[in-house]
Amino acid sequence: MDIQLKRGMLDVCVLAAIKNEDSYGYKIIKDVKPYIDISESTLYPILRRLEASELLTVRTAEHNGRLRKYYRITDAGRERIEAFKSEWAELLSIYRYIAEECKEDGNDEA
Amino acid sequence: MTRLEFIYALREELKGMPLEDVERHVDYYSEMIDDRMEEGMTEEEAVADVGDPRNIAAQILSDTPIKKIVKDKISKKRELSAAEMLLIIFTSPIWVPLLISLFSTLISIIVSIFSVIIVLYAVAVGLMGAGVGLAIGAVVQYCTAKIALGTLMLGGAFICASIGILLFMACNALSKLVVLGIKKLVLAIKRLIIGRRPA
Repeated sequence: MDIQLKRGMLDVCVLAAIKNEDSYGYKIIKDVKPYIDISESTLYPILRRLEASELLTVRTAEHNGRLRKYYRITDAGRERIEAFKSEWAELLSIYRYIAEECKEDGNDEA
Repeated sequence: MTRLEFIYALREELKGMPLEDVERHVDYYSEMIDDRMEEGMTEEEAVADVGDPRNIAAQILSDTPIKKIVKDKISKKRELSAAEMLLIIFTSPIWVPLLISLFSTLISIIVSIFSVIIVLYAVAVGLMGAGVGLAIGAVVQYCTAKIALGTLMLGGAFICASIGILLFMACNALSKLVVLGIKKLVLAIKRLIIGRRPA
């Protein structure tokens, strides 16, 4: 997949992974991995970027006698997901147009 | 590798970055190891699954913009004495042009490498074109029953096309290599700025 496209997708995937409940690094990776390639080292800059643009907040909580960072989505983060979904509807209609046009091409040749 | 060995190695690899950033990365990766162990992996397996500290550090450095690296380095060196500051300012007519020329040399080397690749691509495409042209010529000669000339042209077509295709493949490999090389170069420059020996 195109790297630029994948980057935008990953941001939204991570936001989606924390949308319903707060989550932590390893769980986010496990949740997202079946759908898109992600590793610890790719997740880190994404989390930092999302935190810096206030799409999520981070809190540190104790878990089994050690510290773990939990990520919570903000309202702006939810808006980002919604924006992605509406962009996607637009993209899908463009895709349908392209597919439709190309199909006609094929018919003309045949 | 144990968890502690991993953390020590990662810390060592990130040496030179701001301490706060190093700790954040270390915390992040040690949390990842702990979570894997909690799921039933052994310490050894968890560390191996997270990855090699060297690769992780290289990835971190690649992800850190060069601007941030330079800024961190400069703000860290704020404790310069007045004499040192003066020395830096007075020697600037020497080191500023030196730095600029070093930088422009680097850029021009990269640009020339790219132009060589573009030229090679052009040659490859030209050869393939010549191959096609010769093949068409050969067909024309055969049609007019000039078998000898036609065969000669056909041979030429095969030679041109095959060299062209091979060159094209070589160009692809070369450009991949150059892109990889530039990535490595940027990483080396970043390492140099944060004060680590280039790996």
